[in-house]
Amino acid sequence: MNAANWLKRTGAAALAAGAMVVIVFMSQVPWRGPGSEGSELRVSWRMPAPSLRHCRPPTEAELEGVPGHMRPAEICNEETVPFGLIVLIDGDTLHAGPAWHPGRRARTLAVYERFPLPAGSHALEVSFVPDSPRVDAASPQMDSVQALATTLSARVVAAPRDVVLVTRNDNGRLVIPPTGPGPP
Amino acid sequence: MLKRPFTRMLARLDGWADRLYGWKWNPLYQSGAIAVLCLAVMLVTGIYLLFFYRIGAPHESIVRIDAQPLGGRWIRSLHRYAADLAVAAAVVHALRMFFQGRSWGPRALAWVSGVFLLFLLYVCGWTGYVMVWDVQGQLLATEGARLLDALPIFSEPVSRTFAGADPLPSAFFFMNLFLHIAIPVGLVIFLWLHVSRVARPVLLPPRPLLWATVGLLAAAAVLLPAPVAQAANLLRIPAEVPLDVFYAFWLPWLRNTPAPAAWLAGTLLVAVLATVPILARPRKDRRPAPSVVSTRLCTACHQCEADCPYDAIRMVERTDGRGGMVAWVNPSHCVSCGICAGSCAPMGVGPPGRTGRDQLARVRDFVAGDAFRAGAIVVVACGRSGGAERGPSNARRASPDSDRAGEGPARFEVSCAGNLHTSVVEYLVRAGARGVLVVACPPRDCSGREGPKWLVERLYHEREAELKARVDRRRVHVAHASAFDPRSVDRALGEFADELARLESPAGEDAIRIDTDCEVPEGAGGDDAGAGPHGPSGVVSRLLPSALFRRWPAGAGRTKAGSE
Repeated sequence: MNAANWLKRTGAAALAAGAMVVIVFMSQVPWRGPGSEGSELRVSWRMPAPSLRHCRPPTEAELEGVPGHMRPAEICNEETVPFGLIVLIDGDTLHAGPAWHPGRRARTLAVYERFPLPAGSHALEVSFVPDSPRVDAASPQMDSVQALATTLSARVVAAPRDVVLVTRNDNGRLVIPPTGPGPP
Repeated sequence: MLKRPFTRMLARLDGWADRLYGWKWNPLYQSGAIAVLCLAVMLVTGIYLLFFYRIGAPHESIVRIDAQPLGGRWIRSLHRYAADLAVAAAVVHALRMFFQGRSWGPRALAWVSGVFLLFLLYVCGWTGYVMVWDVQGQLLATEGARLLDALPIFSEPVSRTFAGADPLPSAFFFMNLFLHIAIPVGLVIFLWLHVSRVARPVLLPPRPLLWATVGLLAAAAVLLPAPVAQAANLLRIPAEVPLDVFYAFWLPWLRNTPAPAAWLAGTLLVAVLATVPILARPRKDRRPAPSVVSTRLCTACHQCEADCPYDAIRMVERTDGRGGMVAWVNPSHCVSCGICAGSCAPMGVGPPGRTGRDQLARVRDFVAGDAFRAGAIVVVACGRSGGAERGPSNARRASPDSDRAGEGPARFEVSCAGNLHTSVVEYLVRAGARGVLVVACPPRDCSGREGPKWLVERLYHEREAELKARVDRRRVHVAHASAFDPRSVDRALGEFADELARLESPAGEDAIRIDTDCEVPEGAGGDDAGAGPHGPSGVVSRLLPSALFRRWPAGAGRTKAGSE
């Protein structure tokens, strides 16, 4: 093999190896995500959807053509009660809006929101209340719905990159579960 | 607007890679096959990893695999690097097809299925990284869930799964594992679709390149194994994430983008990619016409059907009352490469203006014109190769005894080396050319896929329509060079000129008649005479009814290896 060929083959091998090294490097580029010095407030829970049941006797027109043994005593409509979520940090409103509402007849109500939170100590208030403008307050079942309303007021200390999680315990109260030290 | 400079850049890269690796092993030409090879590597290493992966403790099982004394870490790294190389190779392949204008018309199916292949590869990689459940997997999962939550199809937020209130259920990792295994099945189906319109698809690179690629991947896996990143912790924001740019390049951008905007951008990208076959196609008046068959000349020899790289030709029953079969070109499959024109001995098939007869008419004018000089070399070049008008350089003399040193050789251009009919080469040699140098593209880079391969077979290996035995093969030479590799052409030209210097000067013939040999003999049934020009040679003799042979004029028949 002459020198030119040897040089060419060495160059070809070096280029291929270099390309492979580039692929290896691009496979694990260190990236420091945005907000990695801050922390995060996460509000998340799931519960049976509170609902209001409205019943009335059927009309003559509705009973027409229905066999006697199949005639209902009353016709009921069930409607999920919309709930709203209000989040205040140090007295400032971070969020005020309806919780995730999948539909009128949904059986579950889910809450999931994320908010960036500067690291440090904060006064936190989270309220979960029926969305009053859209609820029939005169309904006799409203008492049981109102009982689901809950508010959490707490002072939280968020270290950088910590997630402060607010969730709902089995008793229906909003809590901040202890997270324990995570990996560095 | 940008297409031309990019095409030139790509061709220059090809030229450099050709010089380093030679056209046989140029990895750029094999990018599609390398992507498939990487899939095979992923499959083999993936089966091994599957034995040790635990959906109940995903990250811990990866750490255990990494600690295996018998190379678990290397196999995991090999799996990962093969996945990365697959994306890189697939993107290079797609760019080449786009800039070479091979993404529209009959190739639209290959393009669209290729886009789906790349998409599936991404989803597969996504699930693969989530399976590891390290900090990168955590970000991919949470961002993916955020995107899904923007769609009004779920009864509750998917993101809640990753809230951190409860441990992640094993069902999530089971579903992820299922997808990671099921998606490759979809990949295989789309791969089949991707190559369904081509004859003889090449799915793997040549063996030396195959082993070199696997060797490089293995060396990288052993010498630079991919470390296992920190385990995911849903209640901590990852500080530093080792990002795989091939699969998660969009993550930094997406983190600051509202989900609807991300969907819009993604949808636009997919729409643009999917409509490339429409956007990239030339204006109607510039689109090359598909091949046509002269039913008068077709002998039903099946050669064009056998040579067509796109399975665009098949034999059908004649409807003109002559009986037997005739070639039929499916215009929706024909890419107008013209390879059938080079395969047809009677010169009865080919794209309009590029059939064997059209080429003979052109070469007759060429020989009669000023460019041709008896006793000089003629370069017959594929228009996309290094032998086209932009090369070779004029540094070499066209003829050893030429007193016009410094002049370049006369060039005769064809659309593809496979389109070149051997009668053209015969005509040039018989007209007194000292030699004919055919410059073709590197075989794996041929726009018509198999042009250079069939050319060599026809010139040297008696493939129909072969170069006649009466032509001195020492005066015919084939060189391969990409568009920006004129040095290879110059070198081939120089070596060829030196070889020709040892031969006596050629004696030119006047009144060369080649195409008239192909005409249907008088009184042989008029339009019904589907006989070939040179008698029952090769495939023709095996496929035509023997009754037809008797209609050929005496002396016209010869066997494959024989002469008239």
